[in-house]
Formats: sequence, C-alpha cells, structure tokens
Amino acid sequence: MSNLKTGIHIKDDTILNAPFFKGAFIPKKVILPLSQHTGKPSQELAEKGQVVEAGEEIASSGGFISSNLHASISGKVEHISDYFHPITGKGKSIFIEGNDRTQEWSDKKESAVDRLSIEELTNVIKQAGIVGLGGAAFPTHVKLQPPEGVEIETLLINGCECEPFLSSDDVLMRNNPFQIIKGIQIIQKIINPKRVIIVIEDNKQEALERMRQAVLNKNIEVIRVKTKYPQGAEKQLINTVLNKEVPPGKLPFNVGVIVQNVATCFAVYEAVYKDKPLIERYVTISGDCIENSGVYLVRIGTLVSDLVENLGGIKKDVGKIVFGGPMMGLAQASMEMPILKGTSGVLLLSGEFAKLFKEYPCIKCSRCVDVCSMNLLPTKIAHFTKHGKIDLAKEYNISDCIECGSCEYVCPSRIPLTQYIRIGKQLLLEKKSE
Amino acid sequence: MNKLNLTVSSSPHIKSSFGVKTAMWNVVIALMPVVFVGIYFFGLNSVRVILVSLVFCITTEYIFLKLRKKTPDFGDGSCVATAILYALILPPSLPSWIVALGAVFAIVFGKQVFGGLGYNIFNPALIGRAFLMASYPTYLTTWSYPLQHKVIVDAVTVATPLGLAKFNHMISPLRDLFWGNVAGSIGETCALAIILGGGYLLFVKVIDYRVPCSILLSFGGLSLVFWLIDPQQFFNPAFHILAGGLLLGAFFMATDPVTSPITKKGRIVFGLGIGVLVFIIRNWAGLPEGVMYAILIMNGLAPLINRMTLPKRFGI
Repeated sequence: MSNLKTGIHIKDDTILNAPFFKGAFIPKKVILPLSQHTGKPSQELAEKGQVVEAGEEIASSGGFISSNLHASISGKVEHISDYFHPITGKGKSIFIEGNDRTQEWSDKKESAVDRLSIEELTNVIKQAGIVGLGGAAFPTHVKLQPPEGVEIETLLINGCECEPFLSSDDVLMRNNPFQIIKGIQIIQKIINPKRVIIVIEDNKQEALERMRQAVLNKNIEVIRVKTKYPQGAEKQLINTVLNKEVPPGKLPFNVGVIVQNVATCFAVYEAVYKDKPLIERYVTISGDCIENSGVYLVRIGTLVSDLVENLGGIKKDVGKIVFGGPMMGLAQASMEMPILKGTSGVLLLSGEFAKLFKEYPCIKCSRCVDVCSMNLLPTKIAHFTKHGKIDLAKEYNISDCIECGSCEYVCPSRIPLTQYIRIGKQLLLEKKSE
Repeated sequence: MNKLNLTVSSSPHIKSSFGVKTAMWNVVIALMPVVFVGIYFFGLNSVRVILVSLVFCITTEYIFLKLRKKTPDFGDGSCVATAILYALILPPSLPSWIVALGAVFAIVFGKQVFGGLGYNIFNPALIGRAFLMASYPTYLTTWSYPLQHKVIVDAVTVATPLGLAKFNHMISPLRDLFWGNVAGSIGETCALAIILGGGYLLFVKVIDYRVPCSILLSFGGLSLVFWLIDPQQFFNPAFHILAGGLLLGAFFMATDPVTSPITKKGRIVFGLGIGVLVFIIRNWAGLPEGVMYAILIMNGLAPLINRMTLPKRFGI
C-alpha cells in the first residue's frame, strides 16, 4: 500500500468526526453569489421579481473559465445585490425566496446517454454548472478539455478526503457508488485515458468495499492508500499513486493526468442522466458546538444559520466558524454565510479552537521541513517574509506552497507559518505588478 | 440567536499538542538517568555542580532577559536543559566558582548575545565548557575516581579512559565503560544511561534519528577501518564509541535543534562531519577527546550546510 512520504498523520478519533448521512435539507430562502468558482463570476440572467424553478439557469458563464449558476430552490428572485461571500468577503448575489414547490428529476435510459457525443456530453457538463467539488471549484468542462496535443494517460478519481473531520465524500461513496461510476464512465468517454484509478484512504473501509463492488467488470481500478494529510491534494495524489511530479506552475495534464473528485463525478452523473444541474451537494456539518452533526444533502446558497437552526441549534458558544476542513478551511465572520458549490464542510468550533497561541522564536527543529510535501523550507520562507525579504522568499520557491498547513500544524513554536507564506505570496504579487 | 464572538484567523485551525515546552522538558526528562548515574558514581560533587550550574544559568538568563526588556519565561525549559547539559560535561571535582563562571559565560556568550532562544549559532553548554577549557585547562582535566564519595575537592589526578588509551596505551574494560564505572565528566561515563535517554528522545520524536545515526556511522566506520588496518596503533571501534563523550554528544549535544542544520540531507552531512572530526582529533591531535570541538566546529558550519543541501524542488 503506497502513501505520501511526507505530510502529517492527524489523530482521527475525535468527536468531530461525523461520518453519517442525516438527510436532505431544503431551505426557505437561498442566497447565491455569482462567484461560486475559480475564474470570472457568472452573469445574471434572472431579474428581480422573476419566479424561477429549482434547476433553472439564473446566471450564465461569464468567460472561458467560468460557470453557469442555477436556482437551487423554486421561488421568487427577491433582489440581486451585494452580500457576504465566504471566500472573497463580498460579492454580487441572487436572493431567492422559496415557494415550497418541489422539483423531481428522473433517470434517463443508459442507451440514451450512450448516444450522446463527446461534444454533447461536455456541453451538458458545462450547462449544468459543474465545478470541482473537492474545494477549488475549478469549472469541470474546462478541465476536461486539455489543450491540443496533450494526451491523457491516467484519470485519477480522488476519494481521499484527507482533511480531518470531513466525511462528505465518504458518505457519497457509501450512498451512491454506482452513480459515481456512471459519472466516471462519462468522463472516461470524454478524455479517453489509458487508465482510470479511484484512490481511497484506508480510513474509509466501507466506501472502499462499495466502490470495489461497483467497479467489478469495468475498466476501472480502485486502490487503497494509507491515510495521510495532504494526500488528497492534486500534486500529492499524483505523486503517491503514479510516482510522478507535476512541475512548478504546471497542471496535472502536463504529466498526462487529470484528477477529478468523486463528488464531481457524481454531479456529472446527475447532469447527464437526470438533466439535473448542480444545485445541491453533500456537506459535512460538524464541530463541537453543534447538535446533530453529520453529513447533509444541502442546496447551494443555503445560509449556515438556517441550517444550524434546522439541525437543532448550537449547544455551546461558537468561537469559530470554518468553511471547509480544519487544515485549509476559511474562518468566517458571520453565521449568515451561504454554502457555495465548493463548500465540502462547515465546522462550528468552540473557543478551544479559536484560541491564539503565543509565538515562540523558531528553534530550527526542522519539523516543518520534514513534513512539507512540496520540499520547501517553511521556516526560512516565513522568516524572509517577516523581514520583508521577498526576493529571498521567491528564491526559496514560496510560490510552490500549496498552503496545506502541515508545517504550521507541527510547529512547536506555534509560528503561523502558513499565514506568513500567504502574506509573502501577496507581497510577491504586489511587487510583480509594480 | 446567541450573540456570536467569532475568531477569524488563518488556517490551519488545529495544531499538534507538541510545543517548544514539550521538546525542552522532554530533554530534561531524558537526562534524568544520566543525572542519577552521575550522582551514583560521583556522589554529592555531582549534585553540587548541577545545582551551581542551574542557579547561575537561570539567574543569568533572568538578568539578561530583564536587561533586554523581555519577559523571562523559564517555562519553556530551554535554560534548564542547557544548565543540566553543561553540568554533565564537567569534571565532578570542578570548584564551584569555575562552574559558575562557565555557566554565566554559556548563557551570555552562548545564547543571549545572539538574541536568546532559537538564535544562537553554537551550543551554549559546549561554549561554556570550551571557555573553561581555554581558561582553566588544569581544572578541566582533573578527574576523580568513581564511587569515592567526597565532597571536598581533592586533587587526586586520575586519567579518563581516553587519556589512558592515548598516553598510556591502556584500554579500559568495555563493561566499565558501559555501566559508567570509570573516571570522566559527570554525565559521560555511563553508556547505558545515555542510550536510555537518547532512545527515549527518539521514541517521543524530540530528536531526529539522522544526526546521532550519521555520527555513529561515520565515527564507527572510520574506527573500524583503521582498527582493521592497524590494530596495534588504533583502538577498537566499540571502545571508541563507548569511551568519552561521544554518545552524550551524539544524542544530546549535536541533536540540539537550534544549532544543527534544518535540511534532511544537511543533518546527515552534519552528523558525518562530527564523526570524522572526533576521529581525527582523538587519533591525531594533542587532546585525548574531541567531541566538544567537533560539534562546535560543525555548529559553525550549519548555516553553510543548509545552503548547500537545499532540498530538490518538487517537480524539477
């Protein structure tokens, strides 16, 4: 069994793990930011006062790297204006007030799907507004169209879910293995790789078993890797499974690989087989402050506050709200934040997780160096940034950092290494633009 | 809805429980077997030296931090670890005033002038001892017999196993070296206690295996080769490894994170270099022992080693 050589092993047996599916939740209102993905924001189509059905397109792709956006519930467009955005802070959003009408999507016949050409399939994926659901939210149709002349040897399906406390992909693989495989087969048809490999970490035994059953007699492999963080990051996953390194500044297709998250594959299945656009996803709601933690099927645009209220509220004072996992997630300033397409989890953590540590001087213990899966010297880079030596930080390859947070996790001096590196990258950008 | 008091900070939002304190206090814990064996063999003299060292190291650190307008923080344990390490590499019969002088020197010139914890280039404990070695060489080479519990400083000169070997060509029994029943610095005589402490540090991952392993590899390897070539001239590797300060240096001095390289390859180069230097000094220099100088020299080279062993860039 292969595994990432560097990185960290995070204790997994905490109460914050909630790997159980607890049902779907349809909110009374949703707020849909136009910027749900990497790239240009979508352009709104719907107008104020318009009545829309769940699944109706309300904003269309705003450029080559952009994506469509659909109403996630049926109702009336209240207004279109600026609202809190979990990543950018603020952004134009579409407010929909629900009217309790529900929508059903039924399965198409497999033969009907078989007749679709590659172009038609890609177009369906584009129409459905599908983006990478692992977190980066990169538009999937763009990723599935590598430049001319690039041959894709391997399609890696990422079922690692290496961030602790998150179980959305785990639940998805246990609930819908056959649908995921159908989604994979569609992608397989589009990019025509030599090998398709589904990678799952060994802390998800049940998901592994189900996926293995689902790929029987199909040209798809399932491999088990040891649980290690940040194994689910693209470059690290390719390194673990294929022993290839993606060069700095390059993308996986440069080494003949495309990586797709299992949840993205499921979304592709729903788009192609059901004509259902991306309007809901599995979201892990966890943390030591919430009753009924678990994995829920949540409509995009649902406010965390609505979700929490519906789950039975909070049981102790919330000190920190995180969108994403505890290692790479973004802390939020409010509970009135909407779930985005890329939101795999929401953590409501108590003050214990919010306390700030005293920063000791670096004792050069080199733990950060030992865990860095990008072969960087985090303490050096942080030190250079702290003292404004951006040229040196650049020389030490600051831009290679994937901000996985492993270095900061292990740092005995509690130096906010990842934060320094982020600041350094920002300073480097500013310097370049001068 | 409750009023929320949210912290918005940069990820990651969880951290391992391993802190600077954990590292430093674990070193102190790991030193306990060595300390007890030192007290067993050299009696109250050991207690005296260790206490004088602790008092003067801590006082000096306190005064210096006050002068530098910093909040003194002994909770991090680094000063205590330095004080004990420094005491363990001194002869048990060393007069208290010399112990005190070296302790002050170790903290001031080994640590604080560079900026305190994390910023020093050389191992403070070794700096303290090197200073004494230059200033009071006679005191520093006056050894007492083990298991003769006298507090009063007695100028009964005995030689250490390495001294006997170098100047009299006498090899001490390996059994005595292993259990510690020989003359020497308070903490260097008992190989068993040092291996126990070092093993503990490796087990709790306070130290990295690369430094001690590469020291033992290069030193043991060189000793073996030369012994095979000329067993009359050179002593056997087992004697060389067990005698003197090699094990204490390899597990407790060279592994000091602050003064060793941060790159993985660098730590191996660092360890190999120490092993080679110790072998050269022991066999061809005037002194019978060379661990202290070997480590100090490699400490000075650590920044250069870092630069020359930068890790391979991912994807290139």
